[in-house]
Amino acid sequence: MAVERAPVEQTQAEGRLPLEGIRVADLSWFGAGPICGQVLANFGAEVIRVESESHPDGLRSTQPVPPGKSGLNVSGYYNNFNASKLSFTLNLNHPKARDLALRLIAKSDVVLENYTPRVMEKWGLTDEAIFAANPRVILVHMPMQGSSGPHRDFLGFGGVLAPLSGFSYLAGFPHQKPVGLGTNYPDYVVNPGHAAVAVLAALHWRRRTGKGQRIEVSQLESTVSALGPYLMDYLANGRVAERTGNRHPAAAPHGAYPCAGDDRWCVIAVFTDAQWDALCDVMGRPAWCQDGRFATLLGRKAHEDELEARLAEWTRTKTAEEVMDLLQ
Amino acid sequence: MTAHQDAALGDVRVLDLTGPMGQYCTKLLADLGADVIRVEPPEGSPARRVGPFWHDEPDPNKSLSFFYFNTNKRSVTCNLVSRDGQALFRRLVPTADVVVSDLAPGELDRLGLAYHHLVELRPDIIVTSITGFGEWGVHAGYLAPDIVGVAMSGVMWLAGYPDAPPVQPPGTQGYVSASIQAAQGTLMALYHRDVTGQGQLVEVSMQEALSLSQETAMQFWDMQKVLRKRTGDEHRLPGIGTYACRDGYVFSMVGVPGFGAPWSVLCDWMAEEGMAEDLTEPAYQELFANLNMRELTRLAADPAALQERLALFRHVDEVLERFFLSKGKQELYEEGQARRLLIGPVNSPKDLAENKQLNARGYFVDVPHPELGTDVRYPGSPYRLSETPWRVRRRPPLLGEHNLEVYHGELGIPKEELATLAAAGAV
Repeated sequence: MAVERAPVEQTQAEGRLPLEGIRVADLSWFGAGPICGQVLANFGAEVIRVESESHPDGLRSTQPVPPGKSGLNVSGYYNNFNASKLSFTLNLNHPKARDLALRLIAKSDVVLENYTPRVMEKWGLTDEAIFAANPRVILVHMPMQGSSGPHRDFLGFGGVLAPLSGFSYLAGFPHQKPVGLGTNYPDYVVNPGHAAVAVLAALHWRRRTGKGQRIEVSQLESTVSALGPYLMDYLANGRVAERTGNRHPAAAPHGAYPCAGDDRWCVIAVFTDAQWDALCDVMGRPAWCQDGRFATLLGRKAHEDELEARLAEWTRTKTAEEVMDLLQ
Repeated sequence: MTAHQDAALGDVRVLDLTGPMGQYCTKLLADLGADVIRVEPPEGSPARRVGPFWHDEPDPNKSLSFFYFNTNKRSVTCNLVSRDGQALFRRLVPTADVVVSDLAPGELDRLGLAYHHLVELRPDIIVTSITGFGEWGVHAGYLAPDIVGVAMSGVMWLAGYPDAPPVQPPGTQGYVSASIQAAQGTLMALYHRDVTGQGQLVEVSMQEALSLSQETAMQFWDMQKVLRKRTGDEHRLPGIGTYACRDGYVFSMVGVPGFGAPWSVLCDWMAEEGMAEDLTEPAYQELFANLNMRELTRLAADPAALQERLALFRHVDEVLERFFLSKGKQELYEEGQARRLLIGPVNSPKDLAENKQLNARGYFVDVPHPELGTDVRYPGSPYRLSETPWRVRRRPPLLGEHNLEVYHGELGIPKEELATLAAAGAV
């Protein structure tokens, strides 16, 4: 069902972006830090990337790049996550660089960085130095493991974070090795998103009180926070959740089913009796649908392997889009 | 307001019309100090029926999922389908800064509670609407449980093995991402209101909210017409991939230039443990010394040399598999990190509950639940704010726990009137 846009719902804002007037000194690199910066930039903040020519952001030299292009400015990976920003180069290992960085920080509302804790200390950009330069600044650290604790100096990045945080253990089918989600999943919404939420709340508070503050987003803690109920189940019930593929405790069928074509799939989720009846109707009420074993959710859960095999026989005869449109 | 000065959102009130899709948004706001009032149907939000449950006892006040996503919120009941319920909700609106809803598109309008209705009651109101595909457009009316959101967003396409179905991320990540983006949008609108005095409608589509999580899939298609696919258990080079160990699995990323210590460091460790086998021989040492981009590019252009190298790679991987199988995942992690090797344990929820780093930093918090006669341990905050610290001020609300406090105490509705509304099924 298509829904026309109701003109009355247009914003009152008349084109002003919400973060206009906010300046961000973005000292971060790779995934989660720059993406947080981009969120702020796309909504009006002036975000200034501070990068070293001798150690440019690794995403600048990561695929994909357009055919025939090369260099540090053409990576689709980098560019997709750094739109709307300004950039200047600064070699923070140079003795005079610290003063320039602090002069930028003095004129900024937010400072963003995601190095391991010892790097900022090495550059002399300690919390004390930054707040001395600008007491009203919102200083955001996004270290992998936090700035304290026995693992604070551990190396890490998105690829190791998914296994470390529990995502890999819980994703996939029980008979397969836990290989995760095929991407550096926490880098894209979970960690930059949490960081942006914290920054925006701190900006609101600063407007009320005049005070800046220090924000620390331990990427491990942030990512684990996206899996809260699994932790609760262990902490309260002692249960270690296992991989269940695409299944759901309160729905059957619930999964991805093969469709016509090469590697085409459609997800189907049936939560209610009415949805089950509708699915049977769309399939033309084949005989197996009338089997009493499939009439109830408990029955469908008890015979889920067979249910899924039968359903897949039907989905294979249709394209994924046909299945979607018929069932929706 | 001094009581609220140490909470970032201590001056903000939110009316919360969310179920499973949007409740993490309002948790984030509540945990940052907002007064979030969950407005639930008299039978309770569907979120209260989501397991797992405390001691596996299904009960609307014992859902651990509900617990996690509803810290620091209050709860009132209000039947928005009834006219009395709608009138009651409208009395709450002038006291609120924000309304967050994950009702289906058009539903708020049908109830007379859409943005254009609420702005009449509070001109600077912010209304955040979280839906599967947005409030309008060709798919707006489609049902969107989490698995449909992650499938339609392209995230599922990338997850899993090439010869098996795409895999849903664990823990309703479509809902989580939509909620995080909705909290961002709500706070941007709040900041805009701080500056201009204007409220607005914030619209979040779960499908759009997940878009960034496709990593580079869209750009590979745009730039090269290359379709990224599920890679499963691919080991392109020895030392990169998921390996079995004594008590589970580790993910190893050793030998990628620029990412931690090189292969020679891993080989030295294996030799110290007497498990390097023949990898200390010159042929392998030379191989490790040349694991760089230039060499890999050269091999890609020279099929014969590549075949020769692949045989060596396979042998290295087999020796490495034997080494990993001799050790536990935490041991490989901590000893590996001591040598700057990127090896991560595939942690289970139990491993995380026992994780040294999380515990040393006090990540988990014990929240008193008097009704259960005990404390319940919760995962903590995704971030730490120095001046406005995260804390659990109140445990998740029992269903309708704050009806009297809010309706009578704050709105001044006489108790007799509330009794009538309750009898009519409106609260």
